Amino acid sequence: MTVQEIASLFGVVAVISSFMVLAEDYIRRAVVWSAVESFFLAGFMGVYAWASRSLETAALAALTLVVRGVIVPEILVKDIKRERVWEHRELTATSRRAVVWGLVVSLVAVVAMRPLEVKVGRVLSLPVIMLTVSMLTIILRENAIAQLVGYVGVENSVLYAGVSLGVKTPLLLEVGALMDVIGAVLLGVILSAEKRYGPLEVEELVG
Amino acid sequence: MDPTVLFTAEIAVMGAASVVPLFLPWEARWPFTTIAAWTAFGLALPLAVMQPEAGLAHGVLCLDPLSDVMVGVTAALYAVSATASRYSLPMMKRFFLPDRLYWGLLSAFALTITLAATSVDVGYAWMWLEASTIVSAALILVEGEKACIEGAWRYLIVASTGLSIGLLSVVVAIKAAGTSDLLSLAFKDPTVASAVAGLALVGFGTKVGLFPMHAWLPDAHGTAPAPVSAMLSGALLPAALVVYVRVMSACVSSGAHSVVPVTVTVGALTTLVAALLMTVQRNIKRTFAYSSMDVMGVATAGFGASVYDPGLVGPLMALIAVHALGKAGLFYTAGVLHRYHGIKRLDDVRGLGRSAPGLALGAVLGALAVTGAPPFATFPAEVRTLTDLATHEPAQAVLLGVGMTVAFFALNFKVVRMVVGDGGPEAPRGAQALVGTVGSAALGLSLYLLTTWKPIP
Repeated sequence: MTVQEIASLFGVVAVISSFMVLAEDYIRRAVVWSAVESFFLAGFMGVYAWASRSLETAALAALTLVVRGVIVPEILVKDIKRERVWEHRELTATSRRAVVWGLVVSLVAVVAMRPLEVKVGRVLSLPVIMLTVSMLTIILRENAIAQLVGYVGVENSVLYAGVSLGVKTPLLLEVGALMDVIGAVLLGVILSAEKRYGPLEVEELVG
Repeated sequence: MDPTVLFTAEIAVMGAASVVPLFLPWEARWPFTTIAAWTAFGLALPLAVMQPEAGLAHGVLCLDPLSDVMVGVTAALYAVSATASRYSLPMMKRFFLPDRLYWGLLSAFALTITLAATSVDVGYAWMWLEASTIVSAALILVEGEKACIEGAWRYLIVASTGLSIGLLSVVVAIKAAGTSDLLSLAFKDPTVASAVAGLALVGFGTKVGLFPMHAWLPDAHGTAPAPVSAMLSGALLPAALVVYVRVMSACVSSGAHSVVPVTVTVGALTTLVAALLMTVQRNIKRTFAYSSMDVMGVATAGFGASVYDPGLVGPLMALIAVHALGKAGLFYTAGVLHRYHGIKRLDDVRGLGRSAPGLALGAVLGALAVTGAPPFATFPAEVRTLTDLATHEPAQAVLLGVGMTVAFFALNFKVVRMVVGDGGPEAPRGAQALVGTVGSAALGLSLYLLTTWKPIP
């Protein structure tokens, strides 16, 4: 098995994990799948960093593993344990419907990205599938924790695309750090809002 | 004076004003921020008026005519919004974040917008836009109402997700062109250029509030404090549009001509959808938010049309500048009504002309300015956009024309209903003077631009 194949395997498992996030009816399991996704993506980046001797990519892999693979899921799981309402099944987003939507948007994404993939000579379909599936998670879910998990998927997919394309610039690491700051802000909003108003449900937004 | 020195001094003032208020006693925060904001405006004004030569790049920052106008607009809104915050912040009853953060965040917001509009590297422009999302969401979160928290949440999640697609365009651009420097961005293959432009349209377009990525816009504008809404509408949306226009120009130069009709169509649809939503909206600030969406649609279609008519860029920048002041007048009016009387709905306001003439003046002039009524500088920009599109993209011209007409009547009718009649709510004289002055400034700026200003080449 070559290094390229090992990296690709990690990437494919990360994409499958993003599908599991989308298909999961229970918030707690969705958080766990999100951690799995980040773990395998960090593995992909780590292998790539080792093969290309890129310090920035290694740092990005470490950031992915520590922040999105451990810290964020850990905080969310603790919050879920405290607030039992999150463990209830979400009736508005059944797994069957979500998976069908996921497959449709993935197919569209692959077809749409194919010409670009040919021109740049790199595999872009997998990150784009992860991006669309994660965006679908945000759209189909109505509670804030599930949407945050979707946001983590979006962040992972963009960094996945950057590393897949072989972009060698410190910009990617800076971007990763900045997106983690946004994730931290989102997490802070969830935790603070819960203390004051209870679980944050975006469907209640009216105007 | 050297534009670089002026700009550096302005950035330094904004940077200092982002930090210093945290350590000041509460009674000193407003005077300090207001003085800093007006100083920044004083430094930015010569840049916007002088219009230094195009392509004047310094390291990571670019001072070209497009960014000079944005620097001036942002500084002007920063100054008036800092001043107007005197009538907004003390009236808040519940705080989610400590109120001392508000002043520093307001300055940081102006700083991030300025840096986004002037970054010569599209990657760093993206980062500043993303930073502006964090800062402005925190400004919305200063107030502790549940609607504010939910509005900030939706803004953060939708804008950040949309910008992620913008980042994908940056990453593909770096791979294909070998650089993210906007002054030297060029693609060998039109297909790649088209893909970059398409991703950038979706990504940066989310931040502009373009249809169908506009879901965050009415919530964020509707729940933010009025001075923040004014900056969101008048400075942040056009700054994101400027970043997209630069990417689009580079892509069109590389042969991606198909992106022009797509941009124009998205702009025209945005105006039409915003106009229709405006007609049924009852919340004051959300109505004004849809009006911002309408103007950004016109500007987007106009920048698309500027590929056929490069002379259109000047009038469009004038449109952005006048819209910023006009919209500030409208949002400050809404803010005073909300803070002092708890009024959020259009149906609850009548007789503003007699009870608070300053607010009425600011609101009427603001509404006329943003809907493109003559003699405001928005009028020639809208007419020229329509005539250019009628020649090159007639179907989109019809969509845009219908949208602009509906928006004109919808907004002006609603504002006139607020003004006429009896028994209206009263307002502090200082707030009235400020709102009236801002509305009049939109008129004064229009007359200056139409008579004296040398349009952008």
